[in-house]
Amino acid sequence: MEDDRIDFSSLDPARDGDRWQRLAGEAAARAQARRRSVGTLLASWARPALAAAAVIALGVWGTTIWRARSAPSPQVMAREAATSELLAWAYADVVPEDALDLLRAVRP
Amino acid sequence: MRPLSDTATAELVRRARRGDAAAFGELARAYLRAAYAVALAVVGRPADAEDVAQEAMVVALEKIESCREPARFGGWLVTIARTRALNLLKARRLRDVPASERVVDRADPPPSPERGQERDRLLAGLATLPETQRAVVLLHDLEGWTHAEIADALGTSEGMSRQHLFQARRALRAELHEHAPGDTPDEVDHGG
Repeated sequence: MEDDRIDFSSLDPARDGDRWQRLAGEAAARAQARRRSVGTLLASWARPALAAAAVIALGVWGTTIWRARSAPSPQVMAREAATSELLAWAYADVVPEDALDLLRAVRP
Repeated sequence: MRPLSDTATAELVRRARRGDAAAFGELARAYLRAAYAVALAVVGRPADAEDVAQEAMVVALEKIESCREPARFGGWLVTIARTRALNLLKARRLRDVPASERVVDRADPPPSPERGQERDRLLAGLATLPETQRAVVLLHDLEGWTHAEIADALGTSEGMSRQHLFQARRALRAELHEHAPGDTPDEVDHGG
């Protein structure tokens, strides 16, 4: 099978060894240069990107703290629950047995 | 056989990923001709095939982290070369340049008129084959890859690779015999 090979030597670019080595070397050098430029680009963006990420993190942290502090009190939450229960009964046209207690809870 | 074993290839890829300049050079020297063989199978012009092979090598080495199987760097490179060659062919068709048009290899002129005629006959013979047959016969007979390596790189089976090689050789021999020197004295002029 190996003896049946077609002689492609006239199409073989590597027959000019020096030239072919140079082409291979150029490809390797170009690839390295591109990798370096991408690496440099990433490095130049790294510091501003970290600063921006820090600002965003600070903003999110501040907002979370502020929201935690301005959360509704238990009394307000109980009032809102009673209101929704009353509204539900009103919608269903039913007078609840503990209507007076609920009204007291809803009254500010 | 490929110029490097799977183990040696994988080691070079790992070194290249760490930025080892020598590893880049070794990979390029070991696999550039395989990329050329596949590119030539698609574009049909040695000069274009060299450009495609070189650019494919640059892209493969630049994005070497994307090579999921380091031992299969050659197959991965060949895929990149084929894609880029097909893109070039598409662009060439869009520019309406006849695909069969042969140009003198600007970078690598044939050393003698006889050598030039031989190359023209080979190119003409290759042009009569389907692309897969061209890729198989070039990878096998020019680059020396095994059927297992070819099948892996071209996404086919070893059996199909053998069949493609058999058919390609038979068709090429018939074509070369038909246009042997003496039968067609007025060959392509390489003087320009």
